[in-house]
Amino acid sequence: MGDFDGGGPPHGGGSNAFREGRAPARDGMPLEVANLSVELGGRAVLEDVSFSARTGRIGAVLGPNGAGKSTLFRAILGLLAPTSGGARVLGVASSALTAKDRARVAYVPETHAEQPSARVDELEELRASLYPSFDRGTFRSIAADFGLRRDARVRDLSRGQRAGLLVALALAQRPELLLLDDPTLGLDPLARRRVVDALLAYARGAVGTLVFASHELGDVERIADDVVFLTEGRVRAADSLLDLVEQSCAVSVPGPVSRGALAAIDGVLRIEERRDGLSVVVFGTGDARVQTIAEVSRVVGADVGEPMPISFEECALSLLAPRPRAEIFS
Amino acid sequence: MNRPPLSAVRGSATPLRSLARRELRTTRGATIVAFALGAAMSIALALMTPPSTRFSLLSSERARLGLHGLAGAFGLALAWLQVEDERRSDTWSGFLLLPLDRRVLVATKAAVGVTCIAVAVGLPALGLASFLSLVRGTGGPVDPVVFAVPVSVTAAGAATYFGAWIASLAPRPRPFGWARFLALGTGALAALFAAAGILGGAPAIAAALLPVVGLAIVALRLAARPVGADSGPDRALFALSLAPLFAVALAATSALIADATRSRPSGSSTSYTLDTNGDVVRVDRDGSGDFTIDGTPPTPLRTLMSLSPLDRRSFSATWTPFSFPAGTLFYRASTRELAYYNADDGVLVGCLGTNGFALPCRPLDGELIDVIHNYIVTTTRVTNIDNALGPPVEVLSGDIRGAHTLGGVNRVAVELADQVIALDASEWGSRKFSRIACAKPQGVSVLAGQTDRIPDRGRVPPTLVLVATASDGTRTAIRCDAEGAVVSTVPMPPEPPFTRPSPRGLAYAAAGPTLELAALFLSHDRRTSPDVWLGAAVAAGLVVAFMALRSRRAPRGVAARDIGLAVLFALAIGPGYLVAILLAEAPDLVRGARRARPPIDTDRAPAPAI
Repeated sequence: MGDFDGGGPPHGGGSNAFREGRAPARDGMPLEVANLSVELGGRAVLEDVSFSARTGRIGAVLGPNGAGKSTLFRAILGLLAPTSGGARVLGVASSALTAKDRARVAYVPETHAEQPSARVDELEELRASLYPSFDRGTFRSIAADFGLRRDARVRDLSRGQRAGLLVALALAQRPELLLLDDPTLGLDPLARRRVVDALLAYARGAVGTLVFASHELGDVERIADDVVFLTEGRVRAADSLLDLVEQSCAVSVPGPVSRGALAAIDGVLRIEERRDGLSVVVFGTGDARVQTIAEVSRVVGADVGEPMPISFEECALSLLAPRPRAEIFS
Repeated sequence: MNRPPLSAVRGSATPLRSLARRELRTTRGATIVAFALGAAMSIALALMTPPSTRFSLLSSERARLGLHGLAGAFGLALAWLQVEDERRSDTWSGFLLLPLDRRVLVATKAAVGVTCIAVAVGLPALGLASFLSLVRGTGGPVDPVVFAVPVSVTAAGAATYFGAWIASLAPRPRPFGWARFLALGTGALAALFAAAGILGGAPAIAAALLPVVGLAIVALRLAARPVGADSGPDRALFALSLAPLFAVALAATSALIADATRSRPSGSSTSYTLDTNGDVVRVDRDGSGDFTIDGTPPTPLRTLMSLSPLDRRSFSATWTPFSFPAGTLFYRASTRELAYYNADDGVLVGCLGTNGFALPCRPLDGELIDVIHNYIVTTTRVTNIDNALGPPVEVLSGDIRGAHTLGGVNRVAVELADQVIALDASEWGSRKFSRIACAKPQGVSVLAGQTDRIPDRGRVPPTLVLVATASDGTRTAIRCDAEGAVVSTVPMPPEPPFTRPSPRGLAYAAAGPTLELAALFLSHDRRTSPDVWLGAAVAAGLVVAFMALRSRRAPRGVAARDIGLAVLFALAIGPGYLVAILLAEAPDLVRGARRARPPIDTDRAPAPAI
């Protein structure tokens, strides 16, 4: 496992200790989420979510719509109260974040919402007066990239410009932890590229940690170091992007085969129809992978051959897709 | 990375100013519109009231319901803009993540909101109170009671404001979001009224503010905590969701308590008066200033007799040919006439106008009665003979709509433009109905007094007491005999001109509007004229339109059009409200214009018609 750890609590404080009070952050761990569960309106939105992020790295949270990504960010920031577990931001429990702690964190919501009547320069003034580390030069530089006029009002900006404005405000704070909830949602390719470039420029400074949620697999592959796959409120996988791709492979299965039997095999992520048969995506490392492939061969009744590497996109789609259930195919 | 110290994050004035500016950006437009509306209402109220009756202006239904209705609607609008809209558009998260203590954040937001309410509706009310205090003719010692109205108006706005805050901050998903928002806001207002009404007495203003403070504390706590945290405020939130129910229960309980504890002294009496429909209702007076009103069937038309015009002569002879029942005399302000009703069955006997006791006489129909067109009735004051120079038993303003019993006494005094007329109807048994008049001293404002219950009518002639009030507040009692000649003058202690006798005093000033609103909700008082709701209706329309404009995330061209529409709307709302009031007053204005005739020449009055 990499820096994003989908296993147990990142440190042995227990859930209660994790939710309350302050403690020194683990070295290089500005964000730690442990057994986080959140219920909204009586429905479990997040269940037992755990991972952590290391300083200077870029983490991505991937998940289909409704997987709980936005809820996860809100819980991390202390805007939502967890039902169990919790998160630590810069060594402080989310529920105990003080003004000083919040000054070291920046957040961009997926709606790219700001006061419609506010002007760009007014927002700059507000942030500059509230955030001691606010860098006007950074803000103006990014704002210029997005073609933002200083006297423009938020309601007059395009969606891409609003996203650029919020990213510029967030980056100009020079945060130690930057959380972005789907910053490129609804943007045209050009605007999306600008946002990603701005984030990359921030990441190159290696001064803080960036965690963002996205549906754009290309963007994730381009900039993310680590990835958390979130489906139905649970962590499906959390590791470095390269490791995840490395752990995934596909085997070709020729001829008619019982798909239900394949789906019942532990380690099989996805079964895809091909012109000449089926492609079975297998997830695992070492002996586990070997065992899974051997089981597939047994079900097929023939050697399926050498596993083939797959792209990150295929890996991500396999991890995000609903787990194949044997009863569907039987 | 070199980061500056973060010690300056808290406690600095600059961040607070920036934060306040952020909130003002949200509330600025609505505040300007509400202020324009409140100012238009105050100016309209001041301009449309006769100068000598302005002292009772802030106690009028129109002023109370208009200003408090506007305040309540504006409180809801502000809460929508500052909380509900922010949460819906997801700027609320960014607000709570700003690097200031969350209590400071929400307190600043709330402070800006309450300040906007005070400026938009409290300031016009304060201006109106100050105007009434300073204008010549109503001057004199300033009564602090009138300045309770701006406070109560601001409190009413704050009540709906924080009530709506709580509704907006409820955990999501929330059922009935809109209904809950409105119900909790208006319910908070009703609870404020009911709570203040139950407690009454001098501490009522403080008591009226307590629910607002309570709502504010709950709202601020809810705003500062994470969503979903199950805590005391959540339980308080649930309790406050029932605020409308509480309000009704409190109002009903207060009515029951008041009814049960009301003493009925031996001085209680029964009389009849008119409601706004012209129907006769029976009035039971309990002697403590409270009334119980029961309706009776509508008054039928009846033709009885004709009397001579009002003049300095007695016209008792005109009653002679007819059987004259015991009854009660009323002054009907809308037609400026005096009407006499049978005390037994409430049937109209006749009306007294410049043509005498005219026939036929129909309730509230001025067409058949030539009104006293040269007499502008300003104030009628009824006093007790045992304490003639003390506080009056009752004061009736000339601008009150409908008809009013003249104190339920047999002799009354009516202050007119140039003289004071007393009508002596004390000797009903001998069927005499006489009139005495006294010229008003020039250069002073005169309020008429009436002597009543003369112990020995045989020895004491009918006497009229005029109370002349100078511009410096000093007063002089002037006694006139039956012929109108001045008999004597007696200095009197100054009296604050704004001390309008009120059964509930300070408590009524602070909580009266809420009580009346609660009474209206409970349908206990249907005498409220519909036009008093114009202010509330216009304000509600303003709020709805404004929110509709705000909710639109329009592109540039459409936004410019919206701004233009908003400007037109803001420009039209004030004059529109004035026009609405004028339309509501139109029947009286038309009637008044039609009767604008030369003053009557009493020396050439026609002979009595038998």
